[in-house]
Amino acid sequence: MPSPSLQVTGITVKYGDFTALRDVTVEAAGNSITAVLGANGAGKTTLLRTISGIVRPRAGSVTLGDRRLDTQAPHVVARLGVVQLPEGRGVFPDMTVEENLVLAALYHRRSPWSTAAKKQLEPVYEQFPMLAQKRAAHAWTLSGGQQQLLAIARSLLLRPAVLLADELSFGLAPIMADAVFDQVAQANTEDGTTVLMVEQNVGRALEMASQVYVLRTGSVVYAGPAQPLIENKDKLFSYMIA
Amino acid sequence: MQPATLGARRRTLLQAAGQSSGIWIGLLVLAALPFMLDSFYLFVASLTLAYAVASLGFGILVGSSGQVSLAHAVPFAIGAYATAIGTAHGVNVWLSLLIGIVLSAVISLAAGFVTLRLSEFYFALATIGLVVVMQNVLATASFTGGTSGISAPPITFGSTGLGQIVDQYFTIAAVTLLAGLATRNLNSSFVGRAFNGIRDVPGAAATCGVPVFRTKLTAFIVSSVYATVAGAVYGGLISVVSPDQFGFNLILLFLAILIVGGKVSIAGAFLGAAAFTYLPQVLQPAQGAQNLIFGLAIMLTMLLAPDGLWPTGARLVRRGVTRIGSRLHLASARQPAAQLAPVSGVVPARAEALTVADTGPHARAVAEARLDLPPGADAGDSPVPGETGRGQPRLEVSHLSKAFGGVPALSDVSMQLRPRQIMALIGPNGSGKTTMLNCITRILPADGGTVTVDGADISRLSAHQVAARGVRRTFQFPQLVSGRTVLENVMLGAHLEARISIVAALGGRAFTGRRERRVEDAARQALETLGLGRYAAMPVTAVEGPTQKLIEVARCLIGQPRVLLFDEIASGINSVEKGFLAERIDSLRRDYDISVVLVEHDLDFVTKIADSMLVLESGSVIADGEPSSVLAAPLVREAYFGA
Repeated sequence: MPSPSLQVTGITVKYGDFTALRDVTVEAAGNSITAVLGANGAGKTTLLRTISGIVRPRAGSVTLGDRRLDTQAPHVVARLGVVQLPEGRGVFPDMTVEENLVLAALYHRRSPWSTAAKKQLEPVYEQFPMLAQKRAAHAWTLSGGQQQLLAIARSLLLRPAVLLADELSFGLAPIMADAVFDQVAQANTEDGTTVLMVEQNVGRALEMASQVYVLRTGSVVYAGPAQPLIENKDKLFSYMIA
Repeated sequence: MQPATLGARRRTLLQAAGQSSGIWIGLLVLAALPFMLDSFYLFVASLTLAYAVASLGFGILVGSSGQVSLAHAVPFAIGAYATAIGTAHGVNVWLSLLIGIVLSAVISLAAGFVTLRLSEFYFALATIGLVVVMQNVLATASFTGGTSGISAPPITFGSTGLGQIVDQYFTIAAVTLLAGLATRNLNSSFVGRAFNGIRDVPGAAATCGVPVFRTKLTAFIVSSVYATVAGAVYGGLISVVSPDQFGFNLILLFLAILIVGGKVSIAGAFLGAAAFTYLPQVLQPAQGAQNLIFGLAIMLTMLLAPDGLWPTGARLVRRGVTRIGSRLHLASARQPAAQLAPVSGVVPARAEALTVADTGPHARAVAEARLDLPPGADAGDSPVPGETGRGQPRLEVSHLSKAFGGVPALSDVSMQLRPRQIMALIGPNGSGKTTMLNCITRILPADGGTVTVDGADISRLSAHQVAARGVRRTFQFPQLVSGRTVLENVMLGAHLEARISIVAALGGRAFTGRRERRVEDAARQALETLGLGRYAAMPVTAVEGPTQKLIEVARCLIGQPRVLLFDEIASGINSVEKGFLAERIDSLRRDYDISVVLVEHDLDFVTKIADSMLVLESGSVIADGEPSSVLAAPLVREAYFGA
């Protein structure tokens, strides 16, 4: 299943008088993993929010293949296969872990109660034993990090064309974070999902991504392959200071 | 560069002029109305102002504090009846009003004491009960005139000789002006911020020292005082008051004004009141369709301008002014250049902070940021300053237990934290770390066990009392007050130090200015210390998640903390920023005798500064001690790294 490429061209985003992004161009080629790095407040999250249609750019465009995204409502963007991750702790607290997971089937307009929907969960449980262990527990009894993991697992079940991954490791213990990264890499290799990831775990991001963009106070200061940054850590760190 | 800044300044001047000119135009219109309107429309205008005053009070309760009450008609009726009954018995009208205010306050206190404990929906339901009780009392009591009502006296400061309605109008206008000013003062005060705090993030507000229940009660009483005054002048306007005027139609009117005008907008209260007083007069001929048109107006507002007409309108006008402004200064239209300057200006300062090992200047910055310390609270309790103290533990947790729905989240957890010690609290997701912080800060009641701070038991206190003992925390998912700036959010942390009473808050900066400014300076410096100075004036909702967590850290710092509990504050920031943060925490605890618990997943970050490490697994302590030895333990490696 080939995924179309995601093209962000010359976007400028402002919050009131504050310019969050200035003439930013980012391309995530189809079926590839692209990483966006930068200091806190550099505009990384704003970039993802602009792509998913939550924030409107003042200038520039966002396209998926030949479809314009920046004029669409967020739910339309999601329907086109662009999924942002994690969506906070967007789980249904009074449903069990398993009920939360089977809901993913609704995205493809299939019954969540079918055996096919249940069958889909097996690899998820295998990858995240914690969820298997808690499958019958209500989501509200989960800790913050566990809820986060549940939300991520559910979004991955959607098999999106494009995955916008915002700080996947946020609040996760190393062992859990590794499992999440593995799942994302797997989605990329097996389903051909295009991944655009914002990550503070720089080592892991550079390892996974073929193309890297570094943002600094709202502008792109580096665009290119990961290798030069891996070789020149000092240069990378100089970019990372706000 | 030069013309750009000049352009920006002119623009802000234009905006400022736009904002205050609204007030002046409003005043002028108020003063001119008696000379422009006939007595009937002056009556309508007076009625509008009376409703506006009541709505201001309603906005404080429903909009600012988030407590949806449907009993606002009760104090309104008390105001009208108190002056009517008082003057009928020969009591001075102003004294009658004062009695009415006291009566309203007492009834609100008693009713609120019971009903404000209920959660939102049940609170609203219970308040309906109050209205029913009141209407029954008014209809059946011997002194109220029963269902046919009682005549109410006009309320005036004196006679202008222009007729009674003009006298009443000027009195109501003066009352309105006072109410408007008091509301504005309240909104920009500590009390106003606490109101917003209990509305948006009650748990976090409590950990900042805001007594949630008492603050709700305060809002309830203040709003009822507004309604009482409004009710009294309303009674004077319509001459005869009867029970049917204070039923559900009145409550619907208050709600409609609030929805259409805007829940937290002062000008909106006037706009809403004007619309719903004037429209019925215009729509007289359309009798049957009147309610239909009302309903449609409310529905359309909720769809098109959910914040209310005034805030939405004001936003559009502001945008228009900015646009016109940038057209006027076309040469300077390249605003980004002007914007970039202050933002990038921070970089050298921060880069320097990263490389300079000496913490001296920063320590001084914090010293100034710190509020007056109570005697004996400064560093020096312990004989060896700068080192981890010995003797009595700062924080001691003994045999703490907590279960959720029968599933144990914490079982028999004990730990000790000495003065100036930094402890890393680690463990897999769901091991009970956040639950432990929740139980210590009393956001959640523990099932068993005790917690002491400097030897004093805090395990039976409420959350705001724990905050008063110097225990401050951040939250895993940032808990900040929306609709406020970053600076205002930080200032909430000094709620206890500010000690601003509701009366002073209504009185304004003349009474509270010195304390507000002092805390504002402290908040600014706390932000600077964390390298967040440039965010101060930004609306907190425009700030990214990881930065919001650091704003919570700043909020902790200005509360004179003894124990800081940080829940994953380093999540989502990069390694350079983590280094900066670690350095800050390390110098803070040394300079200010603070003990710190760091809940973290990034072991590189915590091992840099932690003196000890506590590992939780499924709610139990599996290791406790010096970080390197804890991390070497096979049990820990298996639980945490799966290796």
